[in-house]
Amino acid sequence: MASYSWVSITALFSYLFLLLAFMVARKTKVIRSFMFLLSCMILAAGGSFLMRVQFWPSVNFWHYVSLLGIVMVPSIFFRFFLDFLEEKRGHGRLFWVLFFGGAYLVNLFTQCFIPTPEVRTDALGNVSFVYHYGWSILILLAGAVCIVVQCTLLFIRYCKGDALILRQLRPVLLGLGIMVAGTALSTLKPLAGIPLDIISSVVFAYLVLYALYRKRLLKLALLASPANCYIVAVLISMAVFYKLVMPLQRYLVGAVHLSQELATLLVAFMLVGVIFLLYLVMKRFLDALFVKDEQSQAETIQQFSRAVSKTLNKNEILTDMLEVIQRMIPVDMAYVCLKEKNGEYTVAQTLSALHNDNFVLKADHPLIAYLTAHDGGVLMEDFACTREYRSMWEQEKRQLKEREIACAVPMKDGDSLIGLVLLPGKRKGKSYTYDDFSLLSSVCSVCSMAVKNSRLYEKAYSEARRDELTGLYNRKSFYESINGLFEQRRDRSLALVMLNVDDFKLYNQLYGNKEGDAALHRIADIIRITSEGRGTAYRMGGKEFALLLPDYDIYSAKLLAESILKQVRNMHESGELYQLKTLTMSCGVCAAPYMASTVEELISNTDFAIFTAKRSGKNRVVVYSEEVKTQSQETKRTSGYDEYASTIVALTATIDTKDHYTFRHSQNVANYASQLARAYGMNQDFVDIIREAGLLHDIGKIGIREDILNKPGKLNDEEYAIMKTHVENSVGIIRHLPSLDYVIPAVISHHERYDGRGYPRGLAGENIPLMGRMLCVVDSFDAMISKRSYKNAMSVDKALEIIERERGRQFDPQLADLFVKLVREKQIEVKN
Amino acid sequence: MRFQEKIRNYSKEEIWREYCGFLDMSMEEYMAIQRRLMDEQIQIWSASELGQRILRGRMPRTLEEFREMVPLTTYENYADILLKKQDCSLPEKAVLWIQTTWEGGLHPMKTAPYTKGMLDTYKRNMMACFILATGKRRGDFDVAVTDHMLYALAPLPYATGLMPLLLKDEIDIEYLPPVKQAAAMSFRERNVCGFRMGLKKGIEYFFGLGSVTYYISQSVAELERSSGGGSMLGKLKEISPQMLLRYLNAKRKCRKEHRKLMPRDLFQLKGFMIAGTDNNCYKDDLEELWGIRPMEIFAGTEPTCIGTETWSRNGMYLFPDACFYEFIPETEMLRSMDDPGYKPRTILMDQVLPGERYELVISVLKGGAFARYRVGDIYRCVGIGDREEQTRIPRFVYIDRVPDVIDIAGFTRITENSIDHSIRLSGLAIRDWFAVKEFTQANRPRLHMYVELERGALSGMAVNTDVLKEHLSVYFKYLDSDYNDLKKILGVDPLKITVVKCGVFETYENECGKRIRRMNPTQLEISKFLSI
Repeated sequence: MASYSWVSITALFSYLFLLLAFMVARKTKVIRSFMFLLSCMILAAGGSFLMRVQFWPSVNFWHYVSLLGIVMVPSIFFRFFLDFLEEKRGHGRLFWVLFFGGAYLVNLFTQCFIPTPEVRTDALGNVSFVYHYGWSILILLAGAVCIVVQCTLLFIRYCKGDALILRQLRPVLLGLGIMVAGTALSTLKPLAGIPLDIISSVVFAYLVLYALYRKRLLKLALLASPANCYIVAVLISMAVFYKLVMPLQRYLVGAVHLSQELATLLVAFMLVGVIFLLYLVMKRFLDALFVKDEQSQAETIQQFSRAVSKTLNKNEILTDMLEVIQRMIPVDMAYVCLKEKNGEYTVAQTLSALHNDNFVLKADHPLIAYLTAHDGGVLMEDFACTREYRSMWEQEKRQLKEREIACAVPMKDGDSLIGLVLLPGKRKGKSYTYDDFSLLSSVCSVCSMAVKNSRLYEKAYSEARRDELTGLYNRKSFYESINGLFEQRRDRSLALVMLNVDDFKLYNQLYGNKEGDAALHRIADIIRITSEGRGTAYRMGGKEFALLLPDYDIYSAKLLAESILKQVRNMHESGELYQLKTLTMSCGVCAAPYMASTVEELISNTDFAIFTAKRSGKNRVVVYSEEVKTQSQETKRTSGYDEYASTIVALTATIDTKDHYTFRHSQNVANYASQLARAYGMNQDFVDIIREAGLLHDIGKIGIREDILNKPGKLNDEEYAIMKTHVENSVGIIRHLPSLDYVIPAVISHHERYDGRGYPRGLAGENIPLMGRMLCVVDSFDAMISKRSYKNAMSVDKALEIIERERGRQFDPQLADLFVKLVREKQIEVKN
Repeated sequence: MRFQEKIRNYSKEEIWREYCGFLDMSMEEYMAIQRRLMDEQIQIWSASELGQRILRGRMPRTLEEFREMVPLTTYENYADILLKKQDCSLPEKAVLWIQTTWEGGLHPMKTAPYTKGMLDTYKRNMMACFILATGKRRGDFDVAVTDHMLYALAPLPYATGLMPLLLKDEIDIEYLPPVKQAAAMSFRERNVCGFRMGLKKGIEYFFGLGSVTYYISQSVAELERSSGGGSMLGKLKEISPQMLLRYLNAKRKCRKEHRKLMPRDLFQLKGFMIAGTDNNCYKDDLEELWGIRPMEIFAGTEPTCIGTETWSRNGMYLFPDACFYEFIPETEMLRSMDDPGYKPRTILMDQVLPGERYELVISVLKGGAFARYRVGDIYRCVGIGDREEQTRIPRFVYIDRVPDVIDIAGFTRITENSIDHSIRLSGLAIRDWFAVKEFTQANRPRLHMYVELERGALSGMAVNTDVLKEHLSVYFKYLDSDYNDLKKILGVDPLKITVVKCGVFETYENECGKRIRRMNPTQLEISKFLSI
């Protein structure tokens, strides 16, 4: 009896110990089945123990509790067996639960299968339990046998040709065998009194636990949970105090002369103290056994997280990661490959600088595809079994094989693979474990975030130093670089080339800002490609570029600049669209130490050179010299407009000789247009240009016959067609005056109508340059109020009425309204 | 990890997925593998001396350019480099060279280089064949280290000799008789020894040419008569009690059913694979003899192991990583036969249509030498995927060699050239002829020659069909050792001669406006010819 009690209680606590451990585990189907099985065994062992000690409420009650566990064990084991094999079909698992459950209920009311035991007490007071089974128990046994047969058949089917399942099932089968044998042996008389059935059941439970561990369905670290430590501590303390409480209490009362109450209190304190002490010892022991490595890993990862969160330097992050990996996993080499802009993965860091090795994994590399589609790392030998591996190139296989890569771990940002870690085999030929993979996954996911942040920072850093439109370095970067380069090249040479796009404003007005941006982009590409590997290109501002050429002398820099200018000139050679204006560049060259001894001098001398290039007819390269400096200083004293004014007057005078009306007309249009532009809020540059455009807008009439210009009556169609050509003529003349070509957009569009029915290009609405729309209003107004060979002068009010009527048709409505208002309010003085 | 270790460490499902996972692929996945591997092959093949010679200095960058620039090739395009085994001219170094006969012995041996990558793929695909041969359903197979294979294959340097070499890397299956021992034995000795060892140890696999396996299977009955007298039982002292019991049981059963002993009475095969031509003639008989239906695989010297049937034995699937496949539609093939200058159009795997016949064109992947190579085999696409097998890629059945080659039982390849040569050597007064491959009433292949004799020779020479047959057979054997083996190994005499009326060839030509095709004319043409 005593041994039965001790064994039963030990078994009971063992089962509870396991059940508690599993309660904190991730519940899979098979784990849940095993927990059911443990519950049945707890009922059987617990019920049996409490029945034997005749615990409250009654022997019968505990008998039925124990019986419930015993009867349900076969059907629950069957369920566990099927789940262990991952068998999806039912195979009657519900039937067996109902069969045994039903049998239990029937027995509960009829006692037909297993009646309640007879309690016998012998002369010495020992209690024994005698069962009186009938034949009907065979029904239950037959059910159990059927389950065993079914399990055997399933076992044969699953294990045929599948050695792995056989190996996995081996502990379960061994446990089952031990349990059956133990139960059978316990019925033999010579072994009566030895609780073999209970012992074998405990062995069975632990063998199943081992099988689950082998199948990687649980971690042994779970056994080290605080709840389990408490249970063990309580169990041991109880066992100790069960025997010691009374003697200890007697000793305290008798020898130490404590009162009964104080002695009891002291013993209770001692019990609590021992439980606590044991708990601590147990916890430490189990932690050291199972959790120590895990804790150490967690600490390392935490340290790594802290370290990488303090830096935005990608290389530092990667170095830290590789160090952590090397500390935790015994490997001699590791590679981190990061995704580049072209989609390829290149080696960004290796464990040892001595083994820097640049290899590339293509964007469509099967390993990349696999890691993108799957979470967690992969062993190369497992990868070789995948479908993706079939499309692997032999060269790619060799690439990994030569580096003895045994394992690959992804670095992911969401679903996208930002990089991967490649590791060779572990030292001493050890294989990678589940724990290694979880460590690597954790480290890689921390690192992925850090790398992502560092890349964002790098991007922001780069964007701050790059020009958004052209991708070249910007002005800020230029000033940062030139100082450094100047210092580095103090004993050698540094050439500076400044390039400025000629008449870019005109180009923008002719073709629009979008086309202007595209042209800048193309020019930047030309400069970048031409100077690649020789120097660095910068965009200094709107249309200004710079090129820093270390170790270049003036002659080489000039040749390079000329090459760029030539390419820019030829940029549009095949495009008809660009006949009106092709882009050219003016370029200034200077180099230290030949022509400058400081950075400031180098920049300012190059400025002088480029200024001279502009003033010398543009589209050229000018190398800085003392003459250039003198010349540019003198030129800078005169204003640009003043230089052209005499030309403009001379040209308009020429028209005057042919068409007496036009000279005054051009002056008037220039005046009205400049006043309208100012009232419209335009700056002085704009006002100056529109004035010049007003003066020159009819210059093309030089090419029109005088008889047509001065014809008294209405022009016929042919004459009108000739008359209309004066617009193109104007442009043709102005094109040959490079310093005045910025007025072309205004001149060419002053006969365009807002509704699109004008000439020569039939532009409409906002597509007509603003200057053109302004000239259109004021040109028409002046024409209407002037006397011409073919008509008399119209009154101002009448002319304004017509302008109002034509708003939105011939004229821009806003400009028409503004002009009418300005005239009516006398802000524009009308000259007849 | 070797296959035999895998079966201890991985589940059946995992192993099946590794080797036979290509059966789960969609057409797009299949083609993605084909195209990706071909990209590598284009790079290395085009850069090699062999490739450059065929490309004439051009350099294709894409698959489309490759198909445009590389003409369809035959062995002649490669002969001068491959026969000299010039490693340095190849896309990749050959690990070993495999050989076979070339046009019935008229040419020297054909040799084909095998790179490491090719051999690895061959091995993996061969294991897939094994798995599929032993399975009864998807995911199922039954291969064990303790199994035995009846060895009925030619040794190295023939392609069939590769199998034991490659399998040795994966699993310690025992060959009956052992490979080294078998190489020193005659064909008959090898069979008897194999079966005798099988009686001691059991036979789980059997692999060979369909015709050869049939012949060997029939020789089981000879076991009792072999090795010069003495009862079979007397020689069975060494065999296991289980096999002894099975033998006695089989004898009793055979006596009762009044039939000869059949292999199925003694052995329970797990896997039965056959290769070669004319397998359809033997499959039913082999199933009867062994109790399981053989699974057909497709392998050759130039293309390596490229296709296999599955557990359902309902058409072959081609492995996506052995070769890049192109298909010449039958009409295009026939047109190119009539007009050698015509460039037939090819289509890719994702363009084949069920029910259509195609001549196979391969580019061997993984550094192989052959590009856009006409293997000379005709396949019929029997379907795109199969509902029962849950596949989505095309299934094929092997039809035969191309019409200008007559292959008898996978042994010999008779061409117009080889027949002409034999006739010349025989000195027979044959004026004209054509040859056709036929099947006898017993469903066995044979070469049927229709010959017209010289008018003038009829009165001065003994030229009846027997004499003609005897003479021609002598020279066929003289020129082609494989033809000789037909008789020697299989005991088959595959030649039938029909003498036709003098002048009938000329009459046919006059009536039809063209000569009758010499090799395998159509049934319609033969009927017309015979009706003259």
